[in-house]
Amino acid sequence: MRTRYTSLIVALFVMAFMYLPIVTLIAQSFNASRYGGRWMGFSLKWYEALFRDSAVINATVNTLAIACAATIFSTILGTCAAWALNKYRRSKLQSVHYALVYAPLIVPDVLMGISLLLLFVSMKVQLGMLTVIIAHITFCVSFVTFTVLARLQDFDFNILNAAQDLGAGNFRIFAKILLPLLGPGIAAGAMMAFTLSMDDFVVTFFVGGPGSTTLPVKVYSMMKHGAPAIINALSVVFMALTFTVAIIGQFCTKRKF
Amino acid sequence: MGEFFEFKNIEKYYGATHVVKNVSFGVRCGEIFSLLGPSGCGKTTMLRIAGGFETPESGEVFLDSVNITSLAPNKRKINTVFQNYALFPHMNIWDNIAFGPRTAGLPESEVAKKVECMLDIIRLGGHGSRMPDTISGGQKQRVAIARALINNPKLLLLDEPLAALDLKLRQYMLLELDRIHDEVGTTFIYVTHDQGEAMSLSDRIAVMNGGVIEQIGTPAEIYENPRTKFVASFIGDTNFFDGKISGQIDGETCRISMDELGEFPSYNEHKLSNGAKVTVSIRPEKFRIFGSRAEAEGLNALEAEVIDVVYQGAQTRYWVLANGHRINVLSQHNRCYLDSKQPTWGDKVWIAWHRDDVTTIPFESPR
Amino acid sequence: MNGFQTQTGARAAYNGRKLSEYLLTAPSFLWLTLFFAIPSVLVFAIAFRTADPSGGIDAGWTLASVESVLKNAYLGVLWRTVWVSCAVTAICLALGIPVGYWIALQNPKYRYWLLLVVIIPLWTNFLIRIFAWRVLLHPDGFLRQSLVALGIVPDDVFFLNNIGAVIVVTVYTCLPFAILPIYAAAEKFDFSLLEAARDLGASRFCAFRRIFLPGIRRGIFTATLVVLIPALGSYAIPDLVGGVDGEMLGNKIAAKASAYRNLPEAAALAAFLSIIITLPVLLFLLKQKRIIRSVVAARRSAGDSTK
Repeated sequence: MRTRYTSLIVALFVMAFMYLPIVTLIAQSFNASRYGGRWMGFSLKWYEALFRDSAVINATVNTLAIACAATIFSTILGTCAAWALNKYRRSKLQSVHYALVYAPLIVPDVLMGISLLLLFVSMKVQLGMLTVIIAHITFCVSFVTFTVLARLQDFDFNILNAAQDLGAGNFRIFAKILLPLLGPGIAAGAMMAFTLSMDDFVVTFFVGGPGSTTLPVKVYSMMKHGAPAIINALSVVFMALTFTVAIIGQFCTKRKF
Repeated sequence: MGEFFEFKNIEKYYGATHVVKNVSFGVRCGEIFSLLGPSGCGKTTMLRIAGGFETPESGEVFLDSVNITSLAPNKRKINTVFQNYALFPHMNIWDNIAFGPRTAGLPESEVAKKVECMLDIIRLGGHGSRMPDTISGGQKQRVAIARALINNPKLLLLDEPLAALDLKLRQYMLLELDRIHDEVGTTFIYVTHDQGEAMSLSDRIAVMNGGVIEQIGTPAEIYENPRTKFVASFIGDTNFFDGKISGQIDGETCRISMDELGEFPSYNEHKLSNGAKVTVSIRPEKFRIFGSRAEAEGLNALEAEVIDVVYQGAQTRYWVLANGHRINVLSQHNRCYLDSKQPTWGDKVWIAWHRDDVTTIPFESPR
Repeated sequence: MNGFQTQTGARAAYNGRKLSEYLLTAPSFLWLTLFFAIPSVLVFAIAFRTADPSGGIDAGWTLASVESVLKNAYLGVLWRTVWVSCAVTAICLALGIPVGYWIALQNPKYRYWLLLVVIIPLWTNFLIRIFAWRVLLHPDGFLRQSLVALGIVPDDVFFLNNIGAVIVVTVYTCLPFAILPIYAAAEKFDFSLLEAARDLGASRFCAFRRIFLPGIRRGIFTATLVVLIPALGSYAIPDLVGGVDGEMLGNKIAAKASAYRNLPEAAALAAFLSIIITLPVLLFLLKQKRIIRSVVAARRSAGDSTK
């Protein structure tokens, strides 16, 4: 079929397009040359420089701290929201609630960043770690909610009746049925929140202040003001970090019962 | 009281919808009792009330003469086989079946003995380590039954247990259910919308429609002697005629004038008096087809024209037209179909029936 | 009396249900109201506030910010934002539809892995993906060097810091988001319909265009939305690879908010962007309502046929 060949060619082109920059980047991080088209020999000097840079270490600590805080709070908020959306599907309140959870998904980062900045400035809140964490929770909640909601919609609530029918009390139902079955879905939502928080640059850039520099913000300022070769190495380390979290997240969602 | 399990004046609303309207009936110890009705008739609600998953707005539920109306599901000696089995997807078959006794806190050695015994009853011995999503629908069904029976419930509730199975498996599982029932002797309440299942399995059937019980009786009583037009049409095929009592013959027999078809002597079960409007139901197989009036000696008969013939192997279904009425007639092949001349399209025939094979239902104003 | 008891019992159950619904809904509802809904409206209010010279917001009211936004050279930036976003969306669809179609045609065993191949680049940090392109497109980078060496491009052509780079990099970051919904729709598509169309005399392309594309229109619609809206709001990409000629509305907002510290003007620009974005969102909502209605109708007719 000709359309099939056309689509195969486009698909191969797209795959090449997707991986070319990443492969180049990884290769460059081990290249002794700064930008060079030429390979100047394998080197780990950029990695050494990276681990000596205390600002980078500081930014990493900030990133992880913010991601952890955002993950914990957004997972709690999102799980409650998903439960309410699923359980009270037909109520009027939930259709408003649904719109409120859905909307942040389609608002561009720039708008979310500037509107939160305006809120914090008009409420005279000092910009810093706290404002960044609040902002991250805000955009993570929707993603957690929809991840958990998808899981809840597949969940056969009849089995709770079955467990009760077989004599189980509330605690036993929670420990033996709910936790093992819904845990992975909630964990997947949490992983998603963690990656999103680690990944965010634009919102952090708007609502961040002194002392709340995260890795993406650090990468941005390094890109703007020199030191590009270190970024190669930093990128690869960062990539390895996100990959680990993403793979765990993937594992949680793929695991079917 | 006297009944083993009893519903008394149950009322149930979902929001503004009145789903169960003052329903009372009893189930005897050891029987298979079916609740039969179309979807939305309230039968599943009755089952959920029995299981404790719904609380009726008013009315009482008795098990073994004890009022259990407000008892939580996990405190009732009643277990349920859920419609889509509701097996715990993260536990293997063994753990699924063992859930009940483990919850009850039985020692593991005793649990193992009981599970083995149940696995034997459902003929899945050796399959204990399989996960629910790796076994067939029929096997899941049997696991769900074993899981519910292992607690030795006084009453087993089955909610459309065969609905998700294909026809062959359904027929096999009907035999299996009957066998398991014989083996354990537990009282079953069986909810279904499939009249075939209810007829072949049940000791007694309650036909439900619109939140009320239309009729309770043995399968034969319900088929041969439906009390309402709904029961007559829901169970099996039938032909309805509007009629009026036009005279009395003796204490048991009256004359009914049926539409434009004429006046026929009929069994008068309800002792209706002259002028009463009735609906007459005659099952297709109660008709016999003859070439001439003389052959139908002693029977009621109508002249009709054959308009369609559907040969079905064991029987033939005829559609005949008598004075503008399409009538469905079923003729059993007691002799070889090819040996004699059979009525065919366009033939003039006489369809005949015995006066006792008529069911008269007092006219119901449309609801 | 029994009836009265029944009613109060039912009402108590109803109230209990309402209470637990409120308790479950309140955390996310209040949070998103405070930190999402209110700020979104606040943007429009602050657009009419006077600027505080120290970079804050003053108590006065003025039309100055809105006027300067409407009068200024912003119209050029606005136009660029819109056409670049539309071009990015078109390219993403042109690439995403064949890829979605191709993956949907593969053996189900490999589909998951192919999809993963599409998703994996998303696991790389957004900024690092942009940075990777800067490395790749750099004047001394291996791509330009080798192309110049091979004589494919003249020596005076630069890849970085122009509008072309903005489009390429935005396509790169958005493409997986276009492929996913298109694939999700294509996977549900019944490919025997294409054979039926061929049987009825349609050419391959005609069958693709008149049967396949309408069949996956929900996926295409979602893909359009998830590419177009972030593209309209893009900030980091034009900032890092676009140079002066590649500036978009997002850059102007950020510049007003940080470099110039004129928050009312930033708010006015953001309000402007919100209005532009509302347009496709409203279209989507109208469409989605129709989709929801058709689903409800389909379910109802299916329910009737089983009775």
